[in-house]
Amino acid sequence: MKIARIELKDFNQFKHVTLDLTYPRGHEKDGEPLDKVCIIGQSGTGKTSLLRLIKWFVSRDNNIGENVRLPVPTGGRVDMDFNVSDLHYRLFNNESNLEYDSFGKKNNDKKKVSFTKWEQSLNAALQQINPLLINYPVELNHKRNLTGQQEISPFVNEDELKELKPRQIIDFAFEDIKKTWDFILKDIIEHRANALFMKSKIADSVRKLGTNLRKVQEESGEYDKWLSQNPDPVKVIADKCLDPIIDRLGLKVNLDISRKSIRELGFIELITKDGKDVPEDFWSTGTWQLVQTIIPLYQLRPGNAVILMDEPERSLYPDYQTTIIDTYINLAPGSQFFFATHSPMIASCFEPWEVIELKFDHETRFVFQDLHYEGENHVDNYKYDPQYLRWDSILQRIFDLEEEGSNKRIGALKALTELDAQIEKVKDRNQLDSEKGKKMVQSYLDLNRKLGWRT
Amino acid sequence: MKHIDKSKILSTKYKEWVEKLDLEKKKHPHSSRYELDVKMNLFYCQEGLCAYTEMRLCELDKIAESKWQNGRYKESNVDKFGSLDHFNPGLKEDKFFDWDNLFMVHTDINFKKHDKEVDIILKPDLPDYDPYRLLKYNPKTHFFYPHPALRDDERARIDRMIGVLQLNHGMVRYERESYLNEAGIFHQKGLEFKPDRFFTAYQMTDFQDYNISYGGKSYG
Repeated sequence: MKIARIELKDFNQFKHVTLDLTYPRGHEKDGEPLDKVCIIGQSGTGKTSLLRLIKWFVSRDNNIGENVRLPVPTGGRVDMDFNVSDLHYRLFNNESNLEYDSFGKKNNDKKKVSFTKWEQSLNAALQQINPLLINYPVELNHKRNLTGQQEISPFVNEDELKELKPRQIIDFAFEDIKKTWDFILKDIIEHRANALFMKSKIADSVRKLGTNLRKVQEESGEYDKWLSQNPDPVKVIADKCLDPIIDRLGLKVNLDISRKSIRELGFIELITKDGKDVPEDFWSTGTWQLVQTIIPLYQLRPGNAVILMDEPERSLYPDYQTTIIDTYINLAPGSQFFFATHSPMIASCFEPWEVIELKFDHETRFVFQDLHYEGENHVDNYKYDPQYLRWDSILQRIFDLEEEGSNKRIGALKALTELDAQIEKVKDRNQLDSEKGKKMVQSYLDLNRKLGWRT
Repeated sequence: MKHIDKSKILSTKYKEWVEKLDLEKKKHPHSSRYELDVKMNLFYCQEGLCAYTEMRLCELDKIAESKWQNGRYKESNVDKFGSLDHFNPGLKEDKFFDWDNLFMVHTDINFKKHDKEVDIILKPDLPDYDPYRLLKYNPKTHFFYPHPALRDDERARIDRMIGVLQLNHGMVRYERESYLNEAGIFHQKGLEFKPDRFFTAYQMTDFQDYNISYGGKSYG
């Protein structure tokens, strides 16, 4: 399931904006929905609102929370076009509900089948692909052990969460996400419970059978055999995914469960390189960010999810920001990602047509999409490609940052320009060796040094 | 900022309308009737460039003379680009469509200039305006600055106007530097380069001596 287009009319600061979320002409995926989208724009231009709208539309479309009131005020209208296999349809808000506005087979709009027949096909297609929505808001909640708290999500009730299945949502905006994590870590919890059970059986045997070593060895061999057939999922995620990523933080996943009780097995534990426990309460915010976003993707391996990430750069040092998007994409190929960011490092991971820039109109203060192509939406007509620009160039070209540096730097550049002209004058008069000339050259060099020898 | 010749009027209907208003000593109404005619005629005179920064705003095919018929700009469906700037914002109230006071400029530049007081020492359509006499360009910092040969008072006036007209605005400097780097690479490789924007900075740059750094910044 992928979103191909969003149209907003009279919604917040959007007077009338249509976002084409398909690959441009000349691209090998011409006309297909984008695999990943990077929404950028000044604070308040509606990046987070867009992510929320997508969440609402997708979750409602999955028949969750049928009576949820959509956040579109009366008079406003939001249309979203979805592609599922070879079917496509448009949803729009009607008061508190969503309705189908148009539907049909992709590339065959004119020949509409009957609504019932089409809806049956759509349901069959949805059953087959099991779409899922994963939402990572700015404030990721990691309190897995809250008790007595009510679910605040309007979409999923307690009963539904007990058997969280695909086609539903994993939302880290929930107040209490313990059940969500239990679902994500189901394999790990089961495996570890089994391992502990088998280990305790061996311990029991040793106690009961005393010197009957053959019997003990038999049971121990059974455990080894089971382990070879059922590799520890924590070891798998550690080896293949987490350890290489958190290595730079001087951490690794703890694989030793010998001292743990069943109650403590529900989550990944981290240790330092020399084996010291690092309790969750002392994890850095960056560590939380990495572990909490990567584990669900690795464990669920969603193939057809819509994945929303608001500010994926949060708490991450720039070097991590340069690689994190590829990490996410590789964990969920076939899914559609929506990122909202203020980071040039994050933006550099996207093709030009994947960047959606929202901007305020100077006069009306309405939001519009600043297109990065001229003329037809064709790959050759894009002005800039963030993948090839320097970070500072991305800030100026893509993020429209007015200046290259602080006011002090700009002032120094202006002063350098004036000094340069004065030196030229002195040079023309052959007075560069004079006291005044020498002073000027020294000031010129000093100013250049302050500017890092780069003007 | 190159000199602009605004003598060729293609939107003659607009001109007749505004002259009649002036003759009758009437205040110009804020009507959109001739707005596109004015904007496109200005672009025609400005060769599609921002009047102050020389950034390209309008493609030349949109301002070919054939686009005018019977004194009106023919096409109605023109992309929105650039803003109509009143050089002297004080005249805006009564003489909104005064041809001599109008320029097409980059929207961000227009927004920045807003209603700042102006000095005609840097008014690009005046007959005696000569950028090569008034300005110099530093290809290392990519700043325009007042010509050192001028008197101090003149240089101070020009310096202030460089600020008002945003000639050294960060975004403009970035685009200008990138463009000159492009030109520099052509020169370095002995290839022909025909500038279509940033003419003044291009003319003031000695490409024999120009250092290109591929990061977009140069020092030398």
